[in-house]
Amino acid sequence: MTASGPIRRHVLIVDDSGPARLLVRQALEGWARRTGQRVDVVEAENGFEALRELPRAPIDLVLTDVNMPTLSGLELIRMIRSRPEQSALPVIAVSTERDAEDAARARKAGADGYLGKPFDVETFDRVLGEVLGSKAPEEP
Amino acid sequence: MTRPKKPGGAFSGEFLAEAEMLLEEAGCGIDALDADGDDPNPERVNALFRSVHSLKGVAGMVGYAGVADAAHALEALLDDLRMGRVPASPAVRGAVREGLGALSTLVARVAAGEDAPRLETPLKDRLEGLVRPAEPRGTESLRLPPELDASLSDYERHRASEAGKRGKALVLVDLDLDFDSFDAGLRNAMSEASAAGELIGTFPGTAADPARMAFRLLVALPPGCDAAALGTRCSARDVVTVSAGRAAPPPSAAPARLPAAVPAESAPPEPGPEAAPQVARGVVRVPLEKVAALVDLAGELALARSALGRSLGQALAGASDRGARFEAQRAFARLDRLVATLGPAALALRLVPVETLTTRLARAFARTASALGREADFVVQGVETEIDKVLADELGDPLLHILRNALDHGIESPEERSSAGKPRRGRVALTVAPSGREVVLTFSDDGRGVDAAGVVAKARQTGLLGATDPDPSDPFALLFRPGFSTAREVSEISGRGVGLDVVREKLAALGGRVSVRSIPGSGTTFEVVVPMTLVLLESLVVRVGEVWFALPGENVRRTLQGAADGVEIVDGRACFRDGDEALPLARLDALFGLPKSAGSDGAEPVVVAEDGRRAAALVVDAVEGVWDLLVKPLADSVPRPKEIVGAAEVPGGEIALALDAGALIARIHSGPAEGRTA
Amino acid sequence: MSGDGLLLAFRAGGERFAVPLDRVREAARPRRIAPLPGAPPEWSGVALVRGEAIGVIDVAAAMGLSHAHADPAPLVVVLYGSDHALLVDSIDGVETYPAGRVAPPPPGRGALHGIVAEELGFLSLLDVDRLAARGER
Repeated sequence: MTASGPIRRHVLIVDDSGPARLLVRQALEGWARRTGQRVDVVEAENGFEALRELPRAPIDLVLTDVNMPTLSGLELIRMIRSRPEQSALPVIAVSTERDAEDAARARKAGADGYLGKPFDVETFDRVLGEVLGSKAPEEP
Repeated sequence: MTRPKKPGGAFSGEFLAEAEMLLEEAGCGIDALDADGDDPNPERVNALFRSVHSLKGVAGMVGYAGVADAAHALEALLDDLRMGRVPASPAVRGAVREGLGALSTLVARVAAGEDAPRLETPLKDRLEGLVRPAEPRGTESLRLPPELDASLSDYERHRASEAGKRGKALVLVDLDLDFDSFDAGLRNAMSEASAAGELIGTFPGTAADPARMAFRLLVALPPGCDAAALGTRCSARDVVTVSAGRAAPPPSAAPARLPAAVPAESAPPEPGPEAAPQVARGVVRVPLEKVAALVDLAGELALARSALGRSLGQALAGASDRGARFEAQRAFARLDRLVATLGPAALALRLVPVETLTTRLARAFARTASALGREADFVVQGVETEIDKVLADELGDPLLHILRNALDHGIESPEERSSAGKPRRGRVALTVAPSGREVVLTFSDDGRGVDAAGVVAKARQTGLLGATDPDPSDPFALLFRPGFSTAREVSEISGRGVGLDVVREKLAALGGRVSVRSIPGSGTTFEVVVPMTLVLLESLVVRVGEVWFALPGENVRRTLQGAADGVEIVDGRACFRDGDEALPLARLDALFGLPKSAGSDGAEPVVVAEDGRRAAALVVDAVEGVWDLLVKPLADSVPRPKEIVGAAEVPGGEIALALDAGALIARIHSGPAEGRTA
Repeated sequence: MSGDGLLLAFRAGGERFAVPLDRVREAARPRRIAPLPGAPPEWSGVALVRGEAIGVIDVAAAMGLSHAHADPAPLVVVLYGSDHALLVDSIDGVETYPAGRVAPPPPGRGALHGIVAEELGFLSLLDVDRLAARGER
C-alpha cells in the first residue's frame, strides 16, 4: 500500500465484443471515480490474448465474459486458477443477467464474483467491493 | 453503467451491426444443421446456441428487453438441443428457424426506429407448442481424473457422456507449450482436434515450468481414429486415453475370396456428358465431369472472392461515407461466408466410400493368388471410409501393386507355410481409417516378412548404397528406391514395368506417402496415407525472378523484409537468426538454379518455414501475397526438383509451383551444395 | 498405329508432325506456362488446363528446331494416356494415316515412329511416349 496517492488498479477486460468491452471500461472508470481509485485498463479480445497479457503486466483484477468462441470464458478462468502465480487473482465473470446457471458454472470454474449484464451502478460497486474486499493491489 | 433510460441511445448503431452479424451467423448455422439432418454436428449446435446467447446479451445490455426476452426463449430451446433434452428432429429445427425469424423481425423493427419492439405472442409460448422432449437416455459414467471431473461444465459432461454412448474414445491431449507462441500451438491443436473428432473442452494442464503454458484438450474420437497420430499433429507432450471407444466393427464375416455376391461392376459406366443423372433410392448418380466442373467453379469462386476482398479493402480505405463502407463490408462478409461453405460442400460431392476401390482390389487379389499358387484370404475393414472419387480411381494401380507384392514376396506357398508351422491359408488384412484430413490404408500380411539386414545387403550389392555409406536408419525405405529390384515385373494393368519406387512416386503425386514395417517370419505391413480430398490451401506466394512458388500457410512461421540483419555464418554455413534459433538459410534462386533478379541485396524478404519438426529460412525476391489456392498435383513424369509437388493458379493469372515444405526444409538442412538437383 | 487410322497434324518449328487422333484429348491456349526449374530444355513448363496441372513439352525444341516467333498465346495439344501436352505452333487438322508410305525415321530422330515424304517436306509421326520418357527422372 503506497503511503501517498490513490490506489491504482490494473484491470484486464476480456470480451470478444468491442461495445461490451467499452461498456465495462466505462463502468470501471465510474467506479474508480466514486471510490477514489485509479484504474489502468488492459483489453483482450479473446482467451488467448488474455493469457498472454496476464504475466506481462501486473494485473490485479480480471473481468471476463463467459460466452466467447474457441476458448470460452470458463476455460479461461480454469486456466487462470491453475497457474500458481495467478491462483489468487480476483476474477469476475460477466454474463447475461437472466442466467443463474451461468453464475453457478462460473463459480465452479473458479470465479470470485459474478456480474449479470446489464448491471446498474449499485450492483457493480457491490460486486467489485466484495471481490476486491480488503485486497490491496501488489506493489508495482 | 446505469440501465439506460432510453433503449439504445449511443449504442443502437453498434447493437444493430452486432445483432445483424449474429443473426447472419445463426442463419448459416441452422442451414448447416438442416444439412446435417438428425445427427447434427455438436460443435455447430453449440455455436448456434452461443450466437443466440450473445444476441440476448447485447440486446439486454443496450436495453431492448423485447429482443432479449425472445432471444432468451430461443436460447433455452437451443440449450435443450445441445444437452440432448430435445431431439434434432425436423420439428425442432423448424422451431429454431421460426425463432430466428421472429428475432430478425424484432431487430428490423429496431432498425426502423422503434424504441421497444416486442412480440405479440411471447416466443416461449410459440416454441413450446412445436417441440416434444427427447427420450431420456441416461448418462454414461465417466472415469475422468478427479480434478477434471470436478471442473466439467454440464454441457461438457453431456458431450463426454454422449461420446461414450456412441462408442467414441475419449482422450486427453496433453500440451506443454512455450509461452511466447502458445496461442499458435493451442489454436493448431484445437483445430486438429476438431478436425479429427469433437473438441469437448480445454482444461489446464500441469506445467512443470511456470514459464510454459500447459493445456489439456478433452477430445472425443470416432472408432478407428489414431489418437497417437492426433497427438503428433498437435505437437502434444502426451495423449492419455480416458475411455477407449468400442472397437471398430469386425471385418465382414466372409473374407472376400471370390466376389460372387458383389455386383458385376461397382462403378456405374460413364454415360455421355449429356446423359441425365440417374436417380435411385434417394441417391443421385452424376457424371464425374459435372461434379468436377462444380468443384472447379467453387475453387474459381474462392479465388475471385479473395481478389475481391483485396480490391474492396483498397477501394474502401479512402471512402468517407461510413454507412456505405459498412454496408459494403457486411455484403462482402456475407459473400465470404457463403463461398466458404460452398467449397467444402462441392468437394463433399466427390467423396465416395472406399469400398468402390476395395472391391476391385479383392477381385484382383483372388486372381493373382490363384495365378501364383497361393491360398490366401483378403480381409477388409473400414469400407465405409470416404475418399475423393478421383483419388479412389488413381489409387487402384499402386494399391494393386502392393497387394501383388504381398502375395508374391510375402505370403508363402501352402507347403512352405505348413512346414513353418503356419496355417496353410495366408491372410492379407486391409484396414482403412480416416485420420484428420487424411485416410490411412494399412495392408498387413502374415507372410515371410522382409529382413532388414538382407535389404541393406542387397542395396549394397546393387550399388544403391555405397560400400562406405552407413546403414540407413530406415532400411525398409530402400525398397522404394528406383533400382532396388532388378527384376521388374510387367504389370498386367498398366503394361509397364512397375516397381515399389513407382508406387511411391504415384502416391507422392497424389499428395500421399507409404512406409513399411516388417518382422521376418511373421509378416509385413504397408502403411499408405493419402489426403482425403483436394482442398483449398491457404498459401504464401513468393517470387524468384519470373518464377512463382507457393508454400502452405501452416508451414510459414513468419516473413521478414531485409535479410541482411539476421544472417550469420555458423560453422561455415549461412544461417538466419530467428529468436534464439539459428536456422539454415538458403536462397531459393540458388537452390533451384534460377536466374536471380537484379535487385538490392540485403533488402530481400526472408521466409521462415517450418514443418512441425524443423525450420529453415529462405531468401526470395518478393512476397506476392497470401491466397487460398487449389493446388493440383503434378504427374511423376514431369521432370522437376522433388520439392515441387504441384501447381496452382494465383489470382491475376500467374501459376505458382507448390512446394512441399518438409522436402524443402530437409534439402536446406542437408547441405550447402545448393545447386544440386534431386 | 492408331485404331481408326486418323491423325492430328500440326506444325512445330516450321515442320509438320502428327499424332494418332485417339491420343488427342483437346487443344487449348493456356494463359500461362510456368517454367519448371532444372527441367530439360524441351520442357516448356507446366500449364493449368481445365483445372489440371499438365507438363508441356515443346515439340520444336525436342526435335532440335527453333520457333519462327514467340507466341504470346501458346497453343498446346493435350493427350490421353500421358500426363503431358505438346506445345505446337499451329494445327493443320485431321488427316488420314498414309499407310504404305511410312518410312523408318532417320537415326538421331529418336522420338518418331516414322516419316512420310510429302510434296513439300516431310510429315513426322511423333512417338509421344518416347518424347516424354526422355524427360522422366
